[in-house]
Amino acid sequence: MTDWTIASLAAAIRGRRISSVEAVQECLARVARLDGRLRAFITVDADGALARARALEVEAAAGRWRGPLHGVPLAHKDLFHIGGLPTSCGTKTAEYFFAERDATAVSRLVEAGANTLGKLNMAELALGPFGDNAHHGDAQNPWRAGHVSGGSSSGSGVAVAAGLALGALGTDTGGSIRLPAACCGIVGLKPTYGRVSRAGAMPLSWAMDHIGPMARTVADVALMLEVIAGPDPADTTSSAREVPGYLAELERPPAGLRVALPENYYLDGVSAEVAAATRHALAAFERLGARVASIRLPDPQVIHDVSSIIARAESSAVHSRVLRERPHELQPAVRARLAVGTRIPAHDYLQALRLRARLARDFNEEVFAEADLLILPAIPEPAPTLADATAGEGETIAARMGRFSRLTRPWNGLGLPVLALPCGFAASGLPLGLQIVGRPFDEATVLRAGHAYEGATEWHRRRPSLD
Amino acid sequence: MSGPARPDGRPDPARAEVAGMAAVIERAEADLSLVEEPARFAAALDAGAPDERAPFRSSAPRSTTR
Repeated sequence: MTDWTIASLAAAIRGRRISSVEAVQECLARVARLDGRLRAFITVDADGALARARALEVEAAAGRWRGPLHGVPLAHKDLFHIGGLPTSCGTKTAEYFFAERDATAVSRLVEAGANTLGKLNMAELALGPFGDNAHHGDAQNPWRAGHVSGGSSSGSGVAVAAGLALGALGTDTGGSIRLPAACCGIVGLKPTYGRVSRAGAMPLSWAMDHIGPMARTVADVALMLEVIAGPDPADTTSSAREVPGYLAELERPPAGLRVALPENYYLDGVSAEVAAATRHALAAFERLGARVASIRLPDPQVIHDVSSIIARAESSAVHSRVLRERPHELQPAVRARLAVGTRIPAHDYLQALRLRARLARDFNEEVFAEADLLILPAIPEPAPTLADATAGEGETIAARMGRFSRLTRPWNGLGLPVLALPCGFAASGLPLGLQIVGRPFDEATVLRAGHAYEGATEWHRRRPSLD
Repeated sequence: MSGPARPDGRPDPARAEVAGMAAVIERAEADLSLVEEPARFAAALDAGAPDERAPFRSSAPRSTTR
């Protein structure tokens, strides 16, 4: 299962070289063998997945193919409502979140033939970039035990990297798709705000939440996005814009694209290995024919802080009940993060929303007049140890969380599409991650640049040694 | 936004964090005109997007039979 991609497995199932049942059985066997130590899953729906695989087999035998994901085993962060399965949102409460109908993104994957293996581990209430979880076990970095997996979509990163599932959905409010993708050495996409419906998913911050795909290759992420993107009457914030053919665009070479590396903020204080890998990525784009340059961005700290005000205020509002009635059930750092939101005056929250609109408009006009894409690191250092990341009091940990997500959070405020993908490995053997940022709703260009970079490197071919 | 210290005399880190984030608001709000409504964020995304007349449509069929 570690050698398949979504695309190659789907093709093999159509070519009858492997059956949907065999694919699920192989994934479940890996889960049984490895997940006791990896802690990627909260709920494994083995019986349901096998029953669905048999039904998909019957349909295939009759020549009925549901779509491009027919028979492909996926799993999703445990904040998506899926009928018949509990949704803990990483909390102590097994059924913390309920929706009237299945999450739209999951439903679209299922309609395209995907088979859901179960629900994946996550930071409690999606509040935390390290993947630690006192209730369900710390999601372990598959490349090095005892190191953080990244969060909050920690189980999604681990399951895909370890070959327990071929792809996964994550959510990203301040980096929660891109951080685990970077820490686990896989690909993750935070689409443009509004590109993917959020109906049926636990909200954390309705102005900052994004849903996106995580997989081993850029092509797999493009395929998943093509399935889940588009307007949804159940989510009034979803965009009515037409969904382009991301796969059809992938092979178009990036020659001539203007690719810029920010000269301020994004390389400040990052480790030497991270800085070197980012500069090597820029050089790779130049070899691919892109016009590379450096660029000075409007001070990213401003949109970072505006994003933090909005996210903290909204998350405290969403989870006010558990904070008020059952605070002892929350991990100290999660409680500390929610508590910050309760101290934000309405005045600051409202002004932050207004300022965000201006910052987004100014950024788009200024920056994309000079560049088509930006590249920058996703994590400031290789994944730290869980012990180092979670040491100290709740407020100390919360401050450390903020520092680890400072390269990803500004893009949630700006709402732009950002792809995270592997760009090297540290001497310790841990992956390093790159971010590629594009214009609003221009996921097609972001993905084709990422696909070209991936094809020019070999980082995505490496697998953690787990067996 | 500089709030009181904790009862034990130590500074309150939550209040300090909020004050730090709010500084950007205080610096900018004098210059925020009435046209800066939150809904203009969505307009900013649409204005910055490439031409919607994209040359490619979705190539992934929602459902196929063969």
